[in-house]
Amino acid sequence: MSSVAAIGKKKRGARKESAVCLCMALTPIIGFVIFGLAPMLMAIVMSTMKIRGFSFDNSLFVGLDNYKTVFLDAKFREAIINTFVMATSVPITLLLSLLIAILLNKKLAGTKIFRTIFFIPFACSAVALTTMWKWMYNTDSGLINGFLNGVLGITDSKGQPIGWVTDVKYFWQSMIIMTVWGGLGFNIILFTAALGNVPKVYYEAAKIDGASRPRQFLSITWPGISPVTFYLFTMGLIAALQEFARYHVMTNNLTATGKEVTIVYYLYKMFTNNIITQGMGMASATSLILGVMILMITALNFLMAKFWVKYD
Amino acid sequence: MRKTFFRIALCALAVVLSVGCMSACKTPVAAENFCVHGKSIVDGCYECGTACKHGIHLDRACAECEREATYCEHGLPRVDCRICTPLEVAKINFWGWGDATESEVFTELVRKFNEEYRGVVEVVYSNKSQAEYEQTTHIALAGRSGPDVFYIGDGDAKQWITQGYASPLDDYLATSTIVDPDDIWDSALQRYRYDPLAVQSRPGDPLYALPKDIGPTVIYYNRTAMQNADVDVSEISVFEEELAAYNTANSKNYPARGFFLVNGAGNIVTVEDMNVTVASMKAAGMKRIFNNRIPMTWEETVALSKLLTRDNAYNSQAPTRWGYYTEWWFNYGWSVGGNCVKFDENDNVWKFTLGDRTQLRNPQTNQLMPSQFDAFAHFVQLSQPRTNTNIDGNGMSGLAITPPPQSDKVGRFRAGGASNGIAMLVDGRWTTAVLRRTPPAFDWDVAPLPRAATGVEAGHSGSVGLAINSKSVLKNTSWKLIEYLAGPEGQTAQSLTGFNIPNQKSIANSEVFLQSDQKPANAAIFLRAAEVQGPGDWAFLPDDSWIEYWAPTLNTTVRGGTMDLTTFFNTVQDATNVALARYQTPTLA
Repeated sequence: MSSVAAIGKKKRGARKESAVCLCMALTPIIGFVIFGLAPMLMAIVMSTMKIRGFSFDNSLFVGLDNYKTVFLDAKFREAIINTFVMATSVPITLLLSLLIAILLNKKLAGTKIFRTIFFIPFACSAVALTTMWKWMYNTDSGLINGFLNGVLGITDSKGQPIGWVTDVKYFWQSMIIMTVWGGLGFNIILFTAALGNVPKVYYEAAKIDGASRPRQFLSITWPGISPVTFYLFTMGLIAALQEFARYHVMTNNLTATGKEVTIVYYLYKMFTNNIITQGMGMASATSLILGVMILMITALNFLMAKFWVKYD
Repeated sequence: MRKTFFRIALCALAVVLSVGCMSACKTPVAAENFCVHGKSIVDGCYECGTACKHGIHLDRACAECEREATYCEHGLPRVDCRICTPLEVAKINFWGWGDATESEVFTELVRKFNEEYRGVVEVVYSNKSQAEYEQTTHIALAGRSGPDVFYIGDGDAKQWITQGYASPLDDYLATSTIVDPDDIWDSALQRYRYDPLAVQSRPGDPLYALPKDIGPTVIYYNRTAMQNADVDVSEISVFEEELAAYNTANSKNYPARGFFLVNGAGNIVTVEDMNVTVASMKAAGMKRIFNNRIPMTWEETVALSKLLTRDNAYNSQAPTRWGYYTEWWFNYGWSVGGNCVKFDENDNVWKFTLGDRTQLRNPQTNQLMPSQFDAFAHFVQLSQPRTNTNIDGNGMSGLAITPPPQSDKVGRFRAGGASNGIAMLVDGRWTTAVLRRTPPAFDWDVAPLPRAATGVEAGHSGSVGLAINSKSVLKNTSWKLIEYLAGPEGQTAQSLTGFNIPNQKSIANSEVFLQSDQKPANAAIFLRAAEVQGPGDWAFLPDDSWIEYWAPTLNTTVRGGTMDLTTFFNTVQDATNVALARYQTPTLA
């Protein structure tokens, strides 16, 4: 074979390879355009329209009216408060999972079993877990009241079995407990890995220097695991701001206490229960407001990270 | 050589053929004018295929054949005969929801309908999950994949009508020979009449669905518990109009009241204070009597509830922990002519009037009734603790005869004498089906909802309608199905589920619905209730956003006893009015 033919064949091969690579690279881009960019652009357009139901028939351009209505709506402000209160589950989960990870890192017997047990809730569907908790929280026939009221005789201030998810006083606490329990597993796995990656020599040097346990934690462990903590906190917060499924399942879309209306729940109601007066237009506006909120909070997180996250 | 041979052969063949042809031309033709069947070749022969079956040569037109081509053997023009040329079967999709019993009943009804219209209509019935029905159907109706006929809950009706999903049925109903609109509960029919442009539901507005059923609310009461609390539940069970005849026949002088105290002679002793001890009552030969066919007044309901409430220092001997449970203010407010919203004709907008203090007169007796605010305050008072002494800003105390908002009210009613049992429960007809399926350990029956002493009978009911998809290309055929399901045959079959009341009074008033061999014995009460009960507030406007500004607060903190009415109205009044104003947005018209 002549050298020219060989070069030609090589070129054809390279071109074929490039085409395959381009196809592979295009697949997620096409996916993003269809399922990400196009809906996002549609949402921007829809947020400036008054839309009746699920059809564009008789829809009307209203400019920024939908945004104005959402910002002025007391229910939206309430939804923001609810969402942020529920988001307190993120630091609680982080703290608890770090403690458990430290314990599991002690090389005790059965740590693998415990790690698996803690991870199971994370692997389960949020709907299934919420249904289970719903049953446990049931005022009359739930497991928790069965024990508290039936065995220990503990009731609320009116002598009634505690309405864990039906009484305003207990709703937030109940939901936070459930969320923390469900989120522990993933955090524990990452924290355990991060703790294992902190070089042992630092601890040995610190011991020689006479550093106490808390000092060692603050000066060695915490900086060592700070990138993982930052990741978990940021991702946890983004997920918490978009919380919906658990609240929807727990209350069955029947506003039980009013406290379960997170921002996404509020948005959901706009195009389900309130589709005539609010509808897809306002729901789109709310979703964009939420998107901007998440962006801002995440940006703030990254800014703050400079002060406490150590990558070296 | 080879070519030469072929040339010679071809020439020889040509010569032979030419000679053959010349010989044939010279052969004389035989004069055969008849075929083998003996038929003239002029007339043609059917067997030979030169004539039709009527013996007319195919070259000539046969009138008989022409007639047969046009008319069939059934004597009809062939194109009109559905036996010779069957129609294309019209396929109707019908979506609904319901438990296994309802699904069974509708599957059978649809089977019968398909049988009756075999070859003409085929209905495909799809029983959806109730939890998903609303959303699934809503999306399908918005697109082009929606069913031809569908269930429409009274709570969704105005929303779906506003979005143009349902077709008006007035013209069909006016010409129907199967469904008689005068025989349908007006309270059921009216909730499907709506003018989406005016955002109002008035008697003359277009009708968009035919009620499949109606489920009124009543008081379910624990008969055994009442007997244990020394309340006579067997003495009398008569309607107000039958009372005079009853008193005459039994030499009594009982009042037209649902609950009262009489002395040994049967004369009423006192109505206002019935909380005499059992011992003193018995010593004086007095008797507490409960008539389950006349509505109790608010005061009578409270008095009876106290007797049945073990908690809150009412009656330590009471068989149940709680006397009464209701979660709806409707029968209280509507009993005095009030409501939570009213349409303001001047401002052309709906306004929130739950706290309206205007007192109206009873249209029947002209007596002055309590205001909507008074009625609402009384409703709230039922569950507020006795320690709350200023619920209405005017010194009204809590009664605590009703537990705080409950998630499992039917379970608590079924609990009877157990720790959290409720003696009287306000609930809809649907609970009858539950209690029949899983009977409680005590005797139970039903009674009418309480009313204000000077007010009228009122309450709310639920209903599901049958509508035709406005995009259906088979509207007339769809109507045939609706007519069948909402007509006598469909309604009779549906009554057997026990779930709701037939939409037609004549069927509801018969043994088909009353089913005297089954509980409740006082089933006739449902029929009285169906006459007067309209839909709940969730069916007033095209969506629920306005309700979210006040109902969650009412159903948690207010009924739970941690908020008084002044704070409540200060919190919700303006926000609800703002939400109500959105319903007049011209862009939605």
